[in-house]
Amino acid sequence: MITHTDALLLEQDLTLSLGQRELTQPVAGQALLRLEWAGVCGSDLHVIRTGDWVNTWPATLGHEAVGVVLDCPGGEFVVGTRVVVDSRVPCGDCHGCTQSANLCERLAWVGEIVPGGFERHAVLDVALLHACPEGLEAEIAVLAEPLAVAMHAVNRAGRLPESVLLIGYGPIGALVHSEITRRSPHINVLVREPNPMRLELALALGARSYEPSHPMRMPLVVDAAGYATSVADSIDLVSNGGTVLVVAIPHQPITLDGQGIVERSLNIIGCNGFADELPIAMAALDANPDRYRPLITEAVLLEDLVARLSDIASRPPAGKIVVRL
Amino acid sequence: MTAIGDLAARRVVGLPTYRPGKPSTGSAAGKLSSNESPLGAGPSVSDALRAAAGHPHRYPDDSATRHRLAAELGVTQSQLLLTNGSDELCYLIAQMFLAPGKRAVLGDPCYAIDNTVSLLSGADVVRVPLVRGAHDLRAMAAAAIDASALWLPSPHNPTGVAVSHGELVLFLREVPADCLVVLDQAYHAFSSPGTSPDVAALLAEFPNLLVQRTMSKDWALAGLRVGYAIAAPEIIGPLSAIRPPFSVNSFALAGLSAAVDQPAWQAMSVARVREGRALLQAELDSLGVEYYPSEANFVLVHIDHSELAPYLLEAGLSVRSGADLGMPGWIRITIGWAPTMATLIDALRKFSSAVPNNG
Repeated sequence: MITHTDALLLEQDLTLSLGQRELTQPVAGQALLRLEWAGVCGSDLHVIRTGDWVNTWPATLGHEAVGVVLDCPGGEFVVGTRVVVDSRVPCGDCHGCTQSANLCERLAWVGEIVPGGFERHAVLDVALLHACPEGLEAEIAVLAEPLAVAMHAVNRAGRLPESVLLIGYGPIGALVHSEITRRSPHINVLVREPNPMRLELALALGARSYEPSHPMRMPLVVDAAGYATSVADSIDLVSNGGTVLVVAIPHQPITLDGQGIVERSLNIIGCNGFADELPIAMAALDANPDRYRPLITEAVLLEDLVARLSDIASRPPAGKIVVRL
Repeated sequence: MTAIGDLAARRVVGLPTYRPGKPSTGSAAGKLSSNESPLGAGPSVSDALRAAAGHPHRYPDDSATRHRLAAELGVTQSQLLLTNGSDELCYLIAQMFLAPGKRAVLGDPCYAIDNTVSLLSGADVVRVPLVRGAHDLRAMAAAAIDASALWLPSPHNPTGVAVSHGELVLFLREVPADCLVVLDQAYHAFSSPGTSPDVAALLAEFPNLLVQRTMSKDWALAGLRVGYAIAAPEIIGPLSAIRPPFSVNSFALAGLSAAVDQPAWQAMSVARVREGRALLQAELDSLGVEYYPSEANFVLVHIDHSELAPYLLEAGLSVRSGADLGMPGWIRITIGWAPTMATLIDALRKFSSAVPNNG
């Protein structure tokens, strides 16, 4: 019987350590997982900086996770099944929940309301688990959740124009780019990204660098950066009648030019998590894993995660960091 | 055995058999045994191969590709020869410059194909032992007196140690002008920025130099088999004359052109390899395991393959046994995809804690 597991622990004073967390024993409707890989998301970094959204301390973050079922008392999953974790924990009884889990008025997330993926074992409700396609590598399956987010964002944008400006080429920006070109390979994607390693990745994947010396407005601008003025910058750079798709969470309240939005007939679209895209993302990863391989640029062992997270602000990764558990 | 069979068998007596790297027991990404590119070729290469598939009835025409590559390299087409992988070039060089009564100079250990083609030519083979993984350039230059060809892989395979531009210039000045120096730069793209020799300057000064490259490593076209030589027209011309016609096929030509048209992919891939190499070497330092600091997409590590094998098997990984490469007691680890390298580091830590006196 597994009673404890190694886990990354975030204390309320925002100190991080590798410690042990007690595991409850799974009951019917739950499964015990041996987690294999977890992804580091920008929102994890936000929580590490701020402590926002956490319900119980110490927290174990990480909502992009894949693992193998070790025990499933209700029999919903066969032992040995590889599963991807659905990060959303909706309340189940609000008006939003009747439409989609991501519209829940009290939506919480794995890693904040229940221990997340930065641990070796987890007990989770089976409703949060999706069986992986046979043969899908765990190291690729770990991208399912953020890819679902990117797919949802692109779905929210509606019909894609011939040119798109992407502001910010962190992991979610890269996934949005990948999803846009998966759907329409010939779309012209321009990227504005100050980090040279991230820009190098964007160019390798077929994007072009946005040249500020030749500013031009684009029909769709995706804000995947989340800096203080990124939404305002996106509005400046979108064509009249165009769309600003806000994917990154701003770290502070922002001020918008309401008059400009009205007079220029702009669409400002937000997108929270994903709706029904998670299985679609898993199928896309399974269909062409090599397409997504370059997006994972760094992998660390759980025992090295505290050290890596402590210098992540000064040494941001080129792409997605994944954690071997 | 029949008389003809006996004749054939005697021709290959003493020739080592080339053994390719073994596949991993897990996913394909776990194969760290053949110095392949972990991310593969850029997306445009697949598109080009699909397009090339429409014309299998036509003989390949390499003129446009040679023109494109020559422009990329800053050389004339008369200085460039495409070959079916750089290994075909090894055979052509041996055929052209080596024969019974002639001498070939190699490092020890050396790249296996250089050794094979030299032996097959019937030439006398002089092996000059490496010193701390590096070519002993002074001893090689001395051995090159009366030699017809000298094979100089840099970065060296399997040690990964590279010769600097300055060392190379001094060495080339020592080597007789009638000895061909084959500078095999299969792994040069992975060298630290600023350490790769200035090939144009070297070729201008040393007409007996031939630079050998492959599209298999940083350009990730190993399965297509494309390599090339850069040298003086007086060398390239005769080599072209003995190269079988159409030895570089249409798919290889299409893939090469597409790859060269997307240099950003190669730059990104090389950057990832350099990062992975730095991480692995830092880990080996931390574990106290001996290795040769590498300028290539692999690291030669002083661990016996048989001791590490159970840990690799459990992790679903394969690396190359040094015994295959003239370095028994060592392993050669190709730098793989980031998650694969994390899995490898996990296996190395487990091995190191279980077998603390390794290396």
